[in-house]
Amino acid sequence: MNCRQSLDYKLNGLEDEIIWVNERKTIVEDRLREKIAENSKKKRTAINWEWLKVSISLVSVGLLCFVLIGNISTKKNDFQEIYQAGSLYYKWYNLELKPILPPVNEKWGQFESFPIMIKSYKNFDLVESQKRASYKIMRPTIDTNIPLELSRGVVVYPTSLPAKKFKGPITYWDIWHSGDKWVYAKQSLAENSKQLLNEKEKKITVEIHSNAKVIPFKDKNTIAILMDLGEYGKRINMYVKNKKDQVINFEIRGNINEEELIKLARSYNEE
Amino acid sequence: MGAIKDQQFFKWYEDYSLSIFKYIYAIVQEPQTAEDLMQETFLKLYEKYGSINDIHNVKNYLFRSAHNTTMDFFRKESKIKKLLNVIKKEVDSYSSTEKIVEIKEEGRMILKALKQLKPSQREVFVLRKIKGFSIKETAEILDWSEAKVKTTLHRATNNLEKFLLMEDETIELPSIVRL
Repeated sequence: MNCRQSLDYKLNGLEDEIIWVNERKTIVEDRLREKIAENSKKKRTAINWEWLKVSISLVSVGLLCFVLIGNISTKKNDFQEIYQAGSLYYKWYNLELKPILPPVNEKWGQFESFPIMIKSYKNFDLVESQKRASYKIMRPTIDTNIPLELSRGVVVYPTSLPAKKFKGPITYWDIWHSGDKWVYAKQSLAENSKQLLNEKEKKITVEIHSNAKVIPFKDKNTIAILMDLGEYGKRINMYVKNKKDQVINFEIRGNINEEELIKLARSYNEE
Repeated sequence: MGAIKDQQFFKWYEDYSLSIFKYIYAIVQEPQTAEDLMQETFLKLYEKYGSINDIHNVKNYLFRSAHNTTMDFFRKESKIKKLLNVIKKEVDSYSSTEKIVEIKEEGRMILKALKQLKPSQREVFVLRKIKGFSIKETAEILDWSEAKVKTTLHRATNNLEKFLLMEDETIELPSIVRL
């Protein structure tokens, strides 16, 4: 028997020479079962933890949405409540409106001066006016279907100062007109702007006619009151808080129908 | 699905655990480590159960996995010296391993000679000569080329013969066997 044959002979027998003690197989099998059970338990826990995290996230998102929606509706409701309550008082920042005056019974005249104003506003420069204004002039954002021609102009005061040098309060006018139909929109910075917005200031109370209507706006930065002036048209008075925390006093009046007037008023405030 | 998986898995354990244990033991020559590595090999099989493409060739899969696990062990230890020390200790105090494995006299000689080989030579030798895998199968298990298997096997066989010869001389076998 040579060396190679001897080696092969020995190797053939090696499998039988190594004896893995019998009970060890069962012991390792038990250990395997235990380990597998432990691993799958860990996996389940991990999966459950994943689900828990997902659930917590969903609940958080839900709560956030709930809070946001609640907040939005509260903001909306601030105004809606005022509008729908039919109560005697309407609140807007530091302003309180009391509809305690008797229904309007004033004789409003025609807006007869509009042809003169149109004439004087012919060469009006909006850009230059905006430069001199201490607030951002509100512009209508809709392409209105109202078949009126638009003229615009500005009145600065005090009138004693040269217009170009004056920087400060300004009254800006838009005049929409066609035949005997007319609308004007007038805006200026409310002089009591700060007092209107700051609730720590003395409350401003305004008495309005009991037949005045509050026009609902989604934006709580606006409050608008509509007055029916009979045969001489309708008027909307608005207070609008802008991004610079200024209050714009906006008045729009015209002898067009109520819906059109409201639509036009809204369009100034939808930027 | 889980029950079927478990049933199949433990069937494989029943069929191949002994063979895998002996393979790993021949490489690491430390009974407790061999058992641990075998357990790890089977756990990997369980984890990868879903991705085994050919369940009819689980045997080769297991040997490949056992090879990787064993190599990982060597790498982790890379302190091969540490391992060798352990092996040395185990061989020296043989009685402590009796509960896990029993080695007959002839086998002990072969294992002692195997221990002298490099781990890669040991692996290829055990797979080819003891486990009886073909060159192709051995190459697949070790992820080697067949040429590398042949070369390494040739070197391993030569080295082993030398070691065994030296061993024979030390125990003064009859000259007829030596020649």
